[in-house]
Amino acid sequence: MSKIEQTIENLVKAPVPMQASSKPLGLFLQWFGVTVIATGVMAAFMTMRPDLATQMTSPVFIGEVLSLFLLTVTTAIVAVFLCYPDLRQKPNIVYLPLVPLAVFMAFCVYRLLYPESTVVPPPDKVHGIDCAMCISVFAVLPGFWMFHILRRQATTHPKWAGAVSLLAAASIGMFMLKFIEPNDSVLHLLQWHVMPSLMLAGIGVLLGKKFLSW
Amino acid sequence: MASAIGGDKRAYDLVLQAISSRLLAALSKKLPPKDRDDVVQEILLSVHKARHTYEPTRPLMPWVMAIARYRLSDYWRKHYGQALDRTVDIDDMKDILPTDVTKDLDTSEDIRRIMPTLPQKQQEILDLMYRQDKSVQEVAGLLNMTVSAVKVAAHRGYKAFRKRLKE
Repeated sequence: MSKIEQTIENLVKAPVPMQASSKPLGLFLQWFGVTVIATGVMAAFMTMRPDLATQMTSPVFIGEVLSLFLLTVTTAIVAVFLCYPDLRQKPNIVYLPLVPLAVFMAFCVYRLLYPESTVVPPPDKVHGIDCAMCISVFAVLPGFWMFHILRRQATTHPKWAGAVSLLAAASIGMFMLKFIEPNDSVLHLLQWHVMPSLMLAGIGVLLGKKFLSW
Repeated sequence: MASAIGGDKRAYDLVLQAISSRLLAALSKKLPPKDRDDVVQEILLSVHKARHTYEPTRPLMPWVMAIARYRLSDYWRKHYGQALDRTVDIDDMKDILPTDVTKDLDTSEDIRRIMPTLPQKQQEILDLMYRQDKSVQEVAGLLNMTVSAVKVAAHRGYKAFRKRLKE
């Protein structure tokens, strides 16, 4: 009997009946539920920006908030599909977050072209590392939970899955900071919101390699 | 596969047999024969481990091949990693190395020792050609000799030099 036949015989002897994993929508809703609760609890301890009511009437602000929300949702969807070895045979889904990302960047370009649409606080009230810390705090639980979901499945792209998971979690932070941080300067957004999120995604690559390989 | 996941051992056996034969065929040209069975075994174990992620309404082979690619990239990473780490002990090579390279080096001391033992003419020719880097024509002009005579004398001097170096 060859080694392969022996292996098959051993595998067939093992207890076969098992519960199939949840569908992508189920996994996404599970993550989204945990994220909404965690973010809601954390937001309760934060102070909202003083001009929030005014900003809510600005189409640029609403557009940015929506694009960041969609970035969170789409990156989470990609992470959920990366749970499955064959991405549920939808390989092009990995490009989905590029759409809201492009929309968000378009709003950044608009703010650069029309600076009067941008609120910049006085220099003594400009935040820096605080924003990066805040994004990280918001990202901890959603990121951890996505890793927990991914570890129960069988991703064949551990580094990508790690990166996308933490990017989804960081997007939550970027989304929430729009309601908290009174600085809409594009340079500030890129330096202290986007760059830390990309760094978190880089950390996700390392964590994915370590914890999601199987 | 759906009935196999549901607990039908016979169906599971058939599925794994079919997968293994497809994998052996697919990997026959990609892997060295000695490693092929081991890689197929690894893939079968991974299929077993990840079987809960299979969606019964979708085709099976793309799912299996995604796992196979993952395991194959693991295999190649390990294979090339080992190749980079592989070292050869110089003592294991001494029988096939032509000479002991650390012992038979021609040193300047050897040259200084042997040169005076050669005939005067050969000493002059070798000195001009190999120390002062003159061409055969230049040496012939300097020593008032024909080019062919210089070549013959240089060859003889070189041969004598080599013979004394080996003694």
